[in-house]
Amino acid sequence: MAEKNNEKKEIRNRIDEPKNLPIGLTGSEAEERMKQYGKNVIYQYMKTSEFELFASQFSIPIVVLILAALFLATVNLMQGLVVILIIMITIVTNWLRNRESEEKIIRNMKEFYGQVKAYRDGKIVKLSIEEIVPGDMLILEKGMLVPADGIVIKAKECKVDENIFQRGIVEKVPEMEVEKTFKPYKSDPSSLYAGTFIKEGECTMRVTGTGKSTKYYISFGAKSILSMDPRKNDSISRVKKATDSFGGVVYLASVVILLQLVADGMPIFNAIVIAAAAAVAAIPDTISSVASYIYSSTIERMSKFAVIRRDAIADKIGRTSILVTEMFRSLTRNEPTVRNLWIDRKEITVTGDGWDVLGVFKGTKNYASIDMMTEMVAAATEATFVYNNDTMYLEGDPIEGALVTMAMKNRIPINNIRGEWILVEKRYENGITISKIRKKNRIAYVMFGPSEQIKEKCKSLYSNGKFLKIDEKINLEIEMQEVKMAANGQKTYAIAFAWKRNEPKYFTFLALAGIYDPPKPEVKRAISELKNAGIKPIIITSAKSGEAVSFAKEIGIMGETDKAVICEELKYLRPEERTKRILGSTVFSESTGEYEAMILDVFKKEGHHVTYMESIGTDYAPFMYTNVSLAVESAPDIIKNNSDAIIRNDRYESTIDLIEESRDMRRNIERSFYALSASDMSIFFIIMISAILFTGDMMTATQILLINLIADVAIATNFSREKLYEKSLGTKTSKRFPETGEYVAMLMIALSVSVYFGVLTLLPIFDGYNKTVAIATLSVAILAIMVNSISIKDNLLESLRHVSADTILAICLTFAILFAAFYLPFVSSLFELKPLSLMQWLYIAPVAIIITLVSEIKKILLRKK
Amino acid sequence: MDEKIATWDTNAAIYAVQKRLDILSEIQEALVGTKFTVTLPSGIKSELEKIIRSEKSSIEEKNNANIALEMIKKWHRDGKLKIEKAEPPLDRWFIKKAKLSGMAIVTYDKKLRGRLKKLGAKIIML
Repeated sequence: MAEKNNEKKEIRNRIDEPKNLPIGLTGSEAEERMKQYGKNVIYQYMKTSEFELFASQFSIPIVVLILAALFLATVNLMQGLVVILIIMITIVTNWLRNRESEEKIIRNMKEFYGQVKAYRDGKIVKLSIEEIVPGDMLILEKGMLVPADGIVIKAKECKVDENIFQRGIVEKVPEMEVEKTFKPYKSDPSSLYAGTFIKEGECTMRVTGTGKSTKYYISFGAKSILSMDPRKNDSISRVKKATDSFGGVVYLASVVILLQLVADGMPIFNAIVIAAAAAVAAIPDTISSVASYIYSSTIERMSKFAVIRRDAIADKIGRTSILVTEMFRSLTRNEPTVRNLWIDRKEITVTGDGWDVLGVFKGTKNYASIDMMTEMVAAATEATFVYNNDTMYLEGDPIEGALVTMAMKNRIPINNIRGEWILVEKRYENGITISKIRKKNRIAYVMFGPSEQIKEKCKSLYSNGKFLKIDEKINLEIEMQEVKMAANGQKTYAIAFAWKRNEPKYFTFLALAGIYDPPKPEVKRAISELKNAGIKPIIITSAKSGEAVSFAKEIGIMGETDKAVICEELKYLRPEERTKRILGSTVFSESTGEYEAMILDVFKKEGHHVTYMESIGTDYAPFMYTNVSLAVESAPDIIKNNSDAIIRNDRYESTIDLIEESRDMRRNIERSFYALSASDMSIFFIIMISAILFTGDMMTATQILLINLIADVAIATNFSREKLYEKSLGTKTSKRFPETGEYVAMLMIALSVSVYFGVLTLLPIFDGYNKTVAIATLSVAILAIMVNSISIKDNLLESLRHVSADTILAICLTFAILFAAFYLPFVSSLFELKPLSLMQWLYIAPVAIIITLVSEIKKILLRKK
Repeated sequence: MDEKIATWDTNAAIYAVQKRLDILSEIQEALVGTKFTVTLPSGIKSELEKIIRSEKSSIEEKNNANIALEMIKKWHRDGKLKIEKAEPPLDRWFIKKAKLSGMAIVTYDKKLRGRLKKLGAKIIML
């Protein structure tokens, strides 16, 4: 009797529940609080201070140059001022470029990302984390991120992962309970803090602090941008190292120039200015700001495909050699469908894919058992479908969604059934769902979950209205069906029931359902693209072997020579055998977090660069064994907020876009470096020749800085904005940078330009034009280097077909500067240049042909490689 | 003679839903080895819509008519059947088609069945 009363109470409580729901804030209250407290932005990226960023543009040669120019200005005001003006243009351009890079990164980085359920105007609505305001009532479930600070007002076995504050897993209880009891607690058990995760259970929380007032923000504060820091960023550090490698030689050569000029009788400040200008021109300092700009532009482009949480992904993901994924959600549509049924000991096919409810049951005319099963399923589940823009979305567990869809195919009016039946209790136990349902005086227990577990809890089978004992024959029949379904890539779920008032020890087996989650339409193409690019796609899944292998074959991950492993097997192998087995396999089934870590660790230790895409579960420990960790957007918060990036809309093929963007970025930085270095080297060689050969007619500092400005405008401005047109997916990021071959090519170009320049100065047509010829030859050479660098491998004719607006703009700007420098009387006198005739230009132009020849030879060799 | 067509009338569409049958596969099974296209008159959609809107129809009838209509729309979207413009009464369209080309039809209308049989149409029973 007491039991009955308890049950009644339980049911009444459940029915009464909606009346007790918190109302939450009203829309206008929320709006007001948003104005008062601002957006809930907890994690902020700190920009480098303007002063620091500006100061970082002043390298040693630049400081020397400016100081010397100031002294020079006391003797020759105009020349000193022009030097300072040009150097300031370069500095300001680089500073602005760096500022824009930082802003781009800040704009496109999101540390806290996701949505949360909250009560607003008495309704449950979904809010983005940024929209949360103090006073909001949030509903938090297992795996979710606590998005703000608050107080627990309702909790159900709620345990919170507070490792971030070195507190471990803490049990949370409602505020009211803490007040009632005098139990001593180590810490405040009803407080929740932003940045922690709900490990178990669920709770309702009233928000007390958002944004900068959260404990998280106060403890960790804002983070500085790491992308510009060479210690943290491989691309930038390589560029820095390569630039620095020029430094020693250039400084030495500058001292030689200085001594030579002083020996030739040049006043000391003039000589210092020229030597410093030569050093500024020779060291490709601009490349650092160009590299940062390319880097930030890449992050901006990547953020279309993924929510970038850690900016280093832009660099790291390009080196991927193995892409590991779970089957579910990342590769599948996440619309599981019951395709086959085994009920009344008969095989039945269910038509219709995904959430399509228009299918039918084929293979039976007797619907009694199907009707019973679908009614039970409808009553025992909570998944519902909602329409949004003519598309049906599931709210709830996808497996429940598959069962509900099946019930709808049997023309079961779900809402009516759920109105007639009351779901009294529902709990999860080792992957099994057990629901207690009640209709008037009838009480039933419905159990569904993986067939292996359900079988263990069943002793009888319901078939054609009869209860049969599960003997060996029936057991064999069930096993056969399981094998058949698994071979078709289906997950075998079972449904069992019991007409009892109290939960029995054993249930009655009702049906076996083969659930299939079809692959996303674009996955096959993506896998083949990855394979063509030399990236090995791998599945590590909790699914059964048959299901995983069949699926892997369907999407092309598993070829004829590839192997599959049941993770349990790995346990019994010797370490070297295990490594061999892991390296030779593409499908790892029946995995757990422990095996995932073991497999990933082997790949990493064997020199692979592992990118791991997680979609289900709440264990993020395997991330520690990967180079890049990704999470799909539908993954639990705990996974998403521990990943490097979150793939938008769960699109598997977005990983290809990310890898390609990263490889593009690396190649773009490299080509900018090579082009800028070749130009700077050519400038430096000509300065050397000019210093040694043209006694008394040495290039001036303004001329040197002018040509340096042209190189920066032409190459840096262009390549920092323009994206390589060639696809980079198949090009692995080179381990060596700069490559020896490229150094040789740069040297060849610089030598050719200086030799050609030397020859030109010997021609009578250029008598008295030494300085002008130097600037003109270098200008043509810089333009030729830029045009030849449009493509890394394609020949010039092919690459010219893809010439971008940025390149054309850079060419036009270069021509404008040249025209002003040579033909506008005031400017040309400032730079001490003479106007050149058409005939003279015709003599200079062939330098471009020489550069093209050297570049073409380099490209031919690259293509052969 | 035009290409052979397979078709059904409004009642057959509702009956198939009631009996939880996939009318399209039932037709395909009945016509194995025959080349045909499934063609429906557009009027079948307006007749089903009329049932859905009608106050006389029971909830069950409305539900069934709705499912039948959705199925037709989906199959049309998927390119599994063609829809030809023809407004009710549809008997005239069935007779015209039976005269022009070979026809297989699912119908439980006795009068129509008799007339179509005389014209050489194949009658399919679900």
